[in-house]
Amino acid sequence: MGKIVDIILLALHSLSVHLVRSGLTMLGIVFGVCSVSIMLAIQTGASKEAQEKLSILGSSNVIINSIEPAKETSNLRGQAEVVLKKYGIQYRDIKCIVDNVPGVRDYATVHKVKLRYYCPEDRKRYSLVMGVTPNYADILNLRMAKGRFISTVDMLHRKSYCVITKTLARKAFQCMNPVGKTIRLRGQPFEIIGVVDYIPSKLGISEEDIPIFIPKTTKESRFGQTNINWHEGTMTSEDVQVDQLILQMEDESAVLAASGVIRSIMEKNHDKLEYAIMIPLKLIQAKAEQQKIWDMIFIAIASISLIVGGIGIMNIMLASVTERTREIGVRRAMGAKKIEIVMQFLIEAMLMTTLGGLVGVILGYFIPPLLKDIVDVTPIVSVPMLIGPLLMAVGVGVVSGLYPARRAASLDPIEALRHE
Amino acid sequence: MAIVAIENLSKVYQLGSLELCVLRDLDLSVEQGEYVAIMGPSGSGKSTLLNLIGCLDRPTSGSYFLGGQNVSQLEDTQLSLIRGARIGFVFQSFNLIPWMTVTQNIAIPLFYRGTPRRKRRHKSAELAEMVGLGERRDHRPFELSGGQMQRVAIARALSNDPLVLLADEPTGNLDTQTGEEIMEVFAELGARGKTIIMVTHESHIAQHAERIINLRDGRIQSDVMNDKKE
Repeated sequence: MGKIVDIILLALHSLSVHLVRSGLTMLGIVFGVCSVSIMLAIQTGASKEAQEKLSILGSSNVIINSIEPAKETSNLRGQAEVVLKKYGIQYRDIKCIVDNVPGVRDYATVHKVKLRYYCPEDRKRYSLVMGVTPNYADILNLRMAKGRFISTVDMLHRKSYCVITKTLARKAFQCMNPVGKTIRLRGQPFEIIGVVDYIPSKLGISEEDIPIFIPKTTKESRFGQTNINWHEGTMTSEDVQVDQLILQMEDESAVLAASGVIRSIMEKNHDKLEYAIMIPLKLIQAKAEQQKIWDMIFIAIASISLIVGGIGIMNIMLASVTERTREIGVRRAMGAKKIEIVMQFLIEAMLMTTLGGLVGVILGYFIPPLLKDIVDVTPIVSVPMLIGPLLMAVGVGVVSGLYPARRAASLDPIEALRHE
Repeated sequence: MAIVAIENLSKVYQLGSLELCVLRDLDLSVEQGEYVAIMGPSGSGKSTLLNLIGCLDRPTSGSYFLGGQNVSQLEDTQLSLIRGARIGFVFQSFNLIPWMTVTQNIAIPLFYRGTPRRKRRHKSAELAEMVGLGERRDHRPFELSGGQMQRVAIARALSNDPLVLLADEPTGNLDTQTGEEIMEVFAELGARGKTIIMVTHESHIAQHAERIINLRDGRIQSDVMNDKKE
């Protein structure tokens, strides 16, 4: 043990004698480790942002959408008729799921209807009016930009309140505060009580649909459950009990366990495929998997500079072995074992890469936050994250030092002593 | 008991298909406290013999006992240990490590023996003092003259209290005056009972030894006690 310390001190001494050379050689490792650390920080930041966006859907949620089953008979073109459609999720499905699936914490239902809306500052257009329960915002982690979401009281009293999106607010009211203003849905006035910040795109609705949230009870009493559309003389009556069911499970592990049960319940209750089950957790997992591949590619690219640094170390060490052939001969004649010569040169190489790695890691800790504006994501650095690059540097030292060190040890002492 | 006991020793070098017999059936015995000079023209095998005695090389055949221990067929690691513990080398070209100070150079054999740092420092300072370089103990070799460098090398060879001190043309790179000074150091060591084996091709240098061995073509041609020793 004492000898290892001695050899480390010896290697440090030898490096300090060739300060400029050691420093320049170390620089390769400094840059390599620094770029790996920066890449890691940027990747971690980007990956976290992507995860956050997805997690708005809620990793512990299971979402079931009603979808219109494929048409069985096609009606003759141009002929007016009355079409009655009845499909989708029913209340008995919800009861069945809530009663039988373990781990359901809460659920929200969505009832959609396409309606003309009118507000003084915008033209008449179609919007997607969504009758929702108050827990909708909580389950989906919707953030409010202004005002509040629909409350239980609003629902009990069937209030004519609505919540609009930021996009609509900007379009219809520009800079004015929309809260307190009134818009008309199929002629009926609704008071705006809040503005939602962001709608997750995977939810099946987009900002272009102009979603407007109103209490579920209000929707039922004002617009009914059946949606009637007229199109070229054809009347279509759509009767869908629940357009979307969002189940919130206890935790992520409950999601995977429950998904099978939910599927079988739905299969049992419906003989047609009039629903679609979506599990955000699986989407997140798939995304994370994809992210991992990218991480690997980026770090591999950054590692190339580390490899170049390692080649530099090996080169210098080989030159150093040649230059110090006599020294090696002397040491061998004075009782140094082969392994001690290997250790001396290996430790020199490792000291260079480790010191270079330390400097690189320190730079890699302080540089990423400065890059925030350039790379468009917030890089995330943490001390444990930097252990990897540092270990890589130590590893590069071992790999690039081993060959020169073995070469040094394998020199014949007699030849080495005669070396000019 | 003989410090160095060599019997029937041969050394053959294989140069491609050519066999080069450098030492043939050599017998040599050196007693404790002897001061031996090995002479001979170049190619006579004197350096090879010294390397074998110094455990830097292994004989092709024959036996070699160093201090009663058979070292002729030992492994590299064991030979390293023996070199570190029992042999002191002085070379023609000093072979000091240029980036280390005088005391650090002197302490090299102690370093590989595992002597603790403090004891190493103490002993090397003592030896630097002994060879008259106490004032220059923190100098680097390039700041010293040839004679001073060889003194450092002698101090280094003595630092592990070797059984035998081996010198390969120790005055070869020095002028006559300095060479004589170095010979005085050796004479003093010899007088103190150190066993010294020195290789030289200069007869006036060999005259400093008590016993002169002449090698020719890998065989001992003559082995005489030196009566002319002053």
